[in-house]
Amino acid sequence: MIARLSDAFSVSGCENAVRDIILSELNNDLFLVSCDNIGNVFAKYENTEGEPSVLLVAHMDECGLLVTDITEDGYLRFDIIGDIKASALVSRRVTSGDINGVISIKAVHLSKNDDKDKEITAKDLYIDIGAKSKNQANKYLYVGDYFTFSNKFKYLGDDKLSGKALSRSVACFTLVDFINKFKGGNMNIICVFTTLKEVRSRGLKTAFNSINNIKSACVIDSVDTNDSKVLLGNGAIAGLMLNMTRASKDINDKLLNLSENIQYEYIKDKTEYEEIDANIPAVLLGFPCENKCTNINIVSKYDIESLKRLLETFVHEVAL
Amino acid sequence: MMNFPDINNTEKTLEYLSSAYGISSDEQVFSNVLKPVLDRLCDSTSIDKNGNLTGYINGSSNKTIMFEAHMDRIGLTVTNICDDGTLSFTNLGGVDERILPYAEVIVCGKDMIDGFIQPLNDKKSFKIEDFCIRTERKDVKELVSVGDKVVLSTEFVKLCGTVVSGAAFDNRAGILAILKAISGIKNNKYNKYNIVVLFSTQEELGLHGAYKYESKPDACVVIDVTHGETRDTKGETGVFPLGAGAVICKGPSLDFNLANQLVSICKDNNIPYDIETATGSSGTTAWVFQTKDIPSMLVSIPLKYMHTNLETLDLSDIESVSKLLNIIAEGGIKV
Repeated sequence: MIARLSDAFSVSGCENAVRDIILSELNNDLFLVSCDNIGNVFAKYENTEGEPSVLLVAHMDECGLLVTDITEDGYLRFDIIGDIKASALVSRRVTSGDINGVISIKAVHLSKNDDKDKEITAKDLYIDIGAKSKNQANKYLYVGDYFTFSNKFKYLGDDKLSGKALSRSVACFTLVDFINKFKGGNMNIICVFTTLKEVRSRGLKTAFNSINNIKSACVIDSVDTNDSKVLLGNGAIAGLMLNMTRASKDINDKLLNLSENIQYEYIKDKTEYEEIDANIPAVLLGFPCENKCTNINIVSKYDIESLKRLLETFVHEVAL
Repeated sequence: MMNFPDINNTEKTLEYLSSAYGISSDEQVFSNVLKPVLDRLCDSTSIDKNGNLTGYINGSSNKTIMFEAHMDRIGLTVTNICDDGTLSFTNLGGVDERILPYAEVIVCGKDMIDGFIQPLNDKKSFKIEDFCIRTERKDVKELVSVGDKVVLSTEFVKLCGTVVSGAAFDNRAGILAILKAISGIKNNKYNKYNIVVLFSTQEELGLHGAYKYESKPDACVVIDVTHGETRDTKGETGVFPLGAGAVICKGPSLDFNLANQLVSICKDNNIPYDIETATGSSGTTAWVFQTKDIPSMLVSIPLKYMHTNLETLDLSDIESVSKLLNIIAEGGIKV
């Protein structure tokens, strides 16, 4: 399932492919599945009416490119959604879901020596779909279409997963897996698969129109190893935002006490965590991810197994 | 590898040729693929001690024209296997180092191993020491040795129309143009000149295979790639839009008379063409053949993003070049 989720085309604002996979994979009659108008998917389990719920969140979207202009000679200018560095874009294959493109720069033989060492920024880059004119390009796409990396998911060695969009793929997989294995219990659970996490978590913000009475929450997401102390292969992560409440810290401590081989990290990035009301104690259940927002994210199988256990611990022993 | 596709299917054959390895100094892997094809298309073939692969087709005259294309491709070489299993490497043949971050590669050790290039730090402009290759395999020390070659891996990508992208189109596109031109010549009674097909080695390292080539045809046509026009080279000279056709080179290192004949042939036969110039070396093996006293011509296929893993061309340009070569073989040129 992770492979399909990774290869699927689901840039922020256009999450249909991943939503379809999730809706087809969810397989537990105990949960009531629904969608709201902007595309969030809800799976709700209500054991006792009126009792507060625990909220579990996983995002469906990925970083990508938004076509802003088609030049007269058929090239595409773009803006970046999410946090993709220019160095990760040079000489990469991209796809709009329907058509292929390549992002590249003028040949090294033609570049003067200063050019070669200059930092490349996204403004210097464009997508080449092989069109020779604006008219030809317009037969295949429009300004406002999305593109993302074309990478195919792959296993590397016996423990590592590589591919694009592994943040959402592992997060969604973990939550779907949890739902499908859930056998019932004395609790209410609301799961939300959100859109638009890369656009300041607007999906989750909107989702709060459809949910209420939350006792505690967790966001399932990746943690960039480049930006933190966590190490790949050292287990899942119990994460806290820097300005957390006392209640959140208590939940996190309880989680750490009950779990083995878990890493602990202060989360500095903006995450969906921010959209959760400060009154609701919340933690981030994370997994280490290398090379986030490039075409080759790296995640460890060991960490995914650890994350599954951490989620179980959170729901059954800590949250309520 | 799968069976060699039908040469008439330019797209499939280019995909096949560019998926074969054969990095500079290690071309045997590729000449093993090409030799059976040349055996079919030529009257005889041979491989010299430098790895150059040659095919001979008899014609009716006593003059010989050589069609040449280098068969090596650029890549990387492993220089060190680090304790943590990552690999240090160096450039072999001139890979554009700006494309290296997060590029997917295949390490040709005792086994073909998938890997990718990891930037080791967050600089603004990278040097090759700032990278390592990661395979995430525990057995990497048993499978990989210093000196093993690394290929830039990429899938063959279809873009709009007949434009395609992939690795090693420099110079697999040239090889394809020649193969297409000679298929059918063997039994063609209109064939005038004896044709020698030379697929040379180590061009990317300094034209070495060509330098060591020992025979002397009456003229030669070198097929290589030239720079395609990209967004950031618009209006510059020396770049050609994809679809421009056969790009004929003129300059002191090429035979003046023969180059003019090529232009006439294209005009008379409605073959799309353009002209590029080289005041000194053309950067190709044509430079070598001139000093062997062989009148030389250079015809190139426009190629965008040269020496990256996503070189891009228009298949129609390969067709144009091979039509031109075909007419040459049938006697359309006077040498």
